[in-house]
Amino acid sequence: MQFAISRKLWSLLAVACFLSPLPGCGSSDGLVLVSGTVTFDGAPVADGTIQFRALEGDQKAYASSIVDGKYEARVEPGPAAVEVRASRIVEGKFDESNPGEKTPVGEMYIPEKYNSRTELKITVESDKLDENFDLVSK
Amino acid sequence: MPFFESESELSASPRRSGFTLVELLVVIAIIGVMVGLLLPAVQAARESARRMSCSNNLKQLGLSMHNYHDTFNMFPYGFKTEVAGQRQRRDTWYQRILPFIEQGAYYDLYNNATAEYIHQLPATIAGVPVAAFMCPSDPAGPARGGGGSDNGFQGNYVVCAGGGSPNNPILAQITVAINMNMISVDPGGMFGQQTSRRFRDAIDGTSNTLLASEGMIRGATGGQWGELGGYWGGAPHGSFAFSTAEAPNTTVPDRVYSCKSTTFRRAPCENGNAGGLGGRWNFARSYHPGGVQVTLCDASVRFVSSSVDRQTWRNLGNRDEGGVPAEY
Repeated sequence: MQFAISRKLWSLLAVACFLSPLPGCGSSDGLVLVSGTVTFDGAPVADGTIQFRALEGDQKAYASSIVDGKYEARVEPGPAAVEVRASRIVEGKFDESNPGEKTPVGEMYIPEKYNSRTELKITVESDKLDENFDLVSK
Repeated sequence: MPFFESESELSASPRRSGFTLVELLVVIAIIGVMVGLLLPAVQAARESARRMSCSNNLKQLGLSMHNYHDTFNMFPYGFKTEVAGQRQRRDTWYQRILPFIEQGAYYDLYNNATAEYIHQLPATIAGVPVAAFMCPSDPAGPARGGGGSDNGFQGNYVVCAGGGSPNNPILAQITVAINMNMISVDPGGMFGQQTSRRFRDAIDGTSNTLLASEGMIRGATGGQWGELGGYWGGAPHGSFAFSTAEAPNTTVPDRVYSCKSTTFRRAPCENGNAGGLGGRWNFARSYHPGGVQVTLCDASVRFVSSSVDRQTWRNLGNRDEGGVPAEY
């Protein structure tokens, strides 16, 4: 009888040990992983930023860097406006606002309709999402 | 001899006292569970102590601003407008409040030195780390950079520039790009270029307007211009202040003249100059779990969660937003 109780106790403890780390698991922030590719005129965007601004609620923005055309962002579910920015250095253009320094200046080459006046909108569903963006200059 | 015989006889008896394997396992399991509970608690206690020290720094910063206001009847400027021919160009609020945060001797040393720009001062002056401006939770401290080289000290605390001016027409389009530039326009906060605002300018009330917050330093060295807390020369590139246009610890990158790192996991950053991107801003960030600590204009210190309502956070940053402040 005594052995039976001990065994019960033991199995209970085993279950407790197994369950104890669980509350730390899983993300509780309610964000969804959105990933995919970004191309501009057919070529992958080498280095840039993609931003998803929620169009509902408090309109928080979530951003991710674009590396070799790929991005991976954690975004709030719901409708979102998408902004893409990428830059390149302009040959022969320099900034001299700091004394004694001549620094190359870049330009942001993605058209306004994809960033400051964005027309890109997606709806983020509540599970993992693949979303590819093929941007064009015209 | 008979004594030993009886002893060996006793130990050979099947009814000896002792623990069974199951009992031992139960005890080990209980110890395991308790250690499992205790270890994270010890770690949390360490971070909690660092956070407390950090909140004390923010409180001292608030008090020193009040003392400055008592003396000069206004808050210091965010940073000084550059005028050709003047010495100590790019001076910021940081140098102004040194005498009020018990760094009087250091201030005299700075004030008696001469340089056209403050980032040209030798490291013996510009590079002195001031503990009251370092958050112990940030492993980068004592850091240098943000002003063109690793000559000048870089701290964790900056003043609030605002969250985008309500008078700015672009703001109507809040979902797209609000103007959160902190340089040469007024994004609505208490500090900016050559400002001389007073308590009365906090029309929303000093308890509803942010004074300062903490930020993250992307590594102990690395030079560059405008990184948050680069008090020695980076001010016109964004280093003097933070913007409340995005919530604390946002994944939206800071945009300064040039970043120490653009791949820093917890604090993304984009190069404003090399990227041809307009506007300069830094956001409030911290290593404390779940949010940042801020000083309000009444010198009180609060913890603000990263999940704070973004509009509430913007309103906190602006001195004259109107409306009833929401709970946060």
